[in-house]
Amino acid sequence: MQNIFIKKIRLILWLILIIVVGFLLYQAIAPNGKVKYTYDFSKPDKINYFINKLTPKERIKIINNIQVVIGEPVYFSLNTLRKFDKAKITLQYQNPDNLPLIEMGLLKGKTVWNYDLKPIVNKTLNQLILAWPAVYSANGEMLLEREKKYQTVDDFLKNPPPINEIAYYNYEFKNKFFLQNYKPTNQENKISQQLRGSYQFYTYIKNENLDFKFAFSSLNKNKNSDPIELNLYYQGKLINSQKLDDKRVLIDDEKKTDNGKLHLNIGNLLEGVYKVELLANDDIITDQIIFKQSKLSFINRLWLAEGVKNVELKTDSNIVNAQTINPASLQIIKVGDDNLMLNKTYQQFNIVSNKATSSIKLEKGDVILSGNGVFSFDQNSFIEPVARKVDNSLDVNANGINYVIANYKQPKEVGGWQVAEAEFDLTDAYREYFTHQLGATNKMSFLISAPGLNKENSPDSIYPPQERGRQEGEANKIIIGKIIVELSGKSLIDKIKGIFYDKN
Amino acid sequence: MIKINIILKEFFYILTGFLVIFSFLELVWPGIVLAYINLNLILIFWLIIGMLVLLFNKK
Repeated sequence: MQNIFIKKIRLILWLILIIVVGFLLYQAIAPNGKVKYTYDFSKPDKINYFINKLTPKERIKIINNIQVVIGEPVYFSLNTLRKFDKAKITLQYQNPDNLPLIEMGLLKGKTVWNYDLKPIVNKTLNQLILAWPAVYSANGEMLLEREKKYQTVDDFLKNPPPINEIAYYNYEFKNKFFLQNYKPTNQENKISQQLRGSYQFYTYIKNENLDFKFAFSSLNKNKNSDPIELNLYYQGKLINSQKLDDKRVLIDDEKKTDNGKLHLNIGNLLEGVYKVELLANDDIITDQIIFKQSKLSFINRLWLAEGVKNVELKTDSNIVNAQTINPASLQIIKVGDDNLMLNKTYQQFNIVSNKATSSIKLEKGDVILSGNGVFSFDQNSFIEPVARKVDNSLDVNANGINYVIANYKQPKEVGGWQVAEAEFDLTDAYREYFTHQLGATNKMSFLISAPGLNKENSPDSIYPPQERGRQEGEANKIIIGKIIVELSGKSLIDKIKGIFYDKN
Repeated sequence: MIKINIILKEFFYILTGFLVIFSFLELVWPGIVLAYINLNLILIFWLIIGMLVLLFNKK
């Protein structure tokens, strides 16, 4: 009798163990290729393995169990037990201060920390949707026109208007831009202002070789490897790539050393705009660029290295941002007729300009300049080959924008919360893996960006307090309710089929 | 009393099995167990039951 009793107990308990192990394996493998994780921020004490807390802590306040984001950007990680191909992220939030732009991004690369940003809310677009007629494509692309001219999005793409009348948002607008009356000069030009870290620029080619020579040095401020990658793109496709390895790895003696040269010289190229991308960490200085093209404009951002003095640039950015980490670089920067006060380190200052182009004058270097347009050291080499992005600084009337093409869904209101969705392609996401593992556990990083957070009642703010109706000293905020992540990828059957087809 | 002792022993064995299997699973597939189960609680249970088994054996 006792033996039967022991056997019954043992059977039941071991069955429970098998069921639990089976459940864990089922959740990890996700045989149907789909899984859904939810983080409810109203329950912050409940630990969620899959979606980590928002960080950094300094940008988050917890008020009555509610996550209030007061600085940006904020980050969260997504841990998965296997690889997935796509993620649909639903964000439940409140935007009490009516911030004009909130975006969510997926980290794609760690060298330059580039995020693939997707829209959550874009106030400019929301207003345009109410005011301008819209047409939609089958893919969900939206075309807004000040005056209706095109019946479909395809009509617009086949026969687009001049580039300066177009703005885009969350859309890869592949326009063919040609400069009328352009003639190659074959004259050697030089940029001797030193640049730090990564940058990208546009250039223009017609019946000439693309010829750029770069000379680099390294500051050796960190022990990390400092590789350099130079990429050339045409119409969004990578057509050439060169790499330079770091010669002095694991040395952080802060002695500036020569780090080699790269020469990009390519012939038989089609006429048009080319994008050159230099990927390097902040230890790398580009000492000079020698080139034979007559057009060169830096895209969105460049870091003028320490030692650069009395430099003037041109930009078409509506909003010019400046930041420095060097106390010796604090200064007043002249942007057109206005002054941009750079009077604190580690803080970004900005100024709005509604002119088509503005000049920027700096006395000292070691300043990071950024904006939503291009920057050039020479008026003659200035080129604006792309449409403007619809961001929080775009003024469609001042900039003469008559058409907007976008991939955008307005957020919905559900029970007092705004709910927005963003879809990401995870195939080329940057992943961190555990070492020495057989399983496919990995971690991906996301951010929530809202330009306008951190901007309190400062005179340099682009959001004057009277427009926001706030009290003195009160910070802008976003309230996060939930993050829901729906992942999809190959099912177990697809994976098994894939193994057999690969073997055959 | 004997039955309680038997049940406790069986629970001790099964919790040992849980700990070994879950630790192995975590080693080869990080997160597979910890995403859902707190191994610390299983360890505490295992220790308590182990002590109870020793107590009952002594009696």
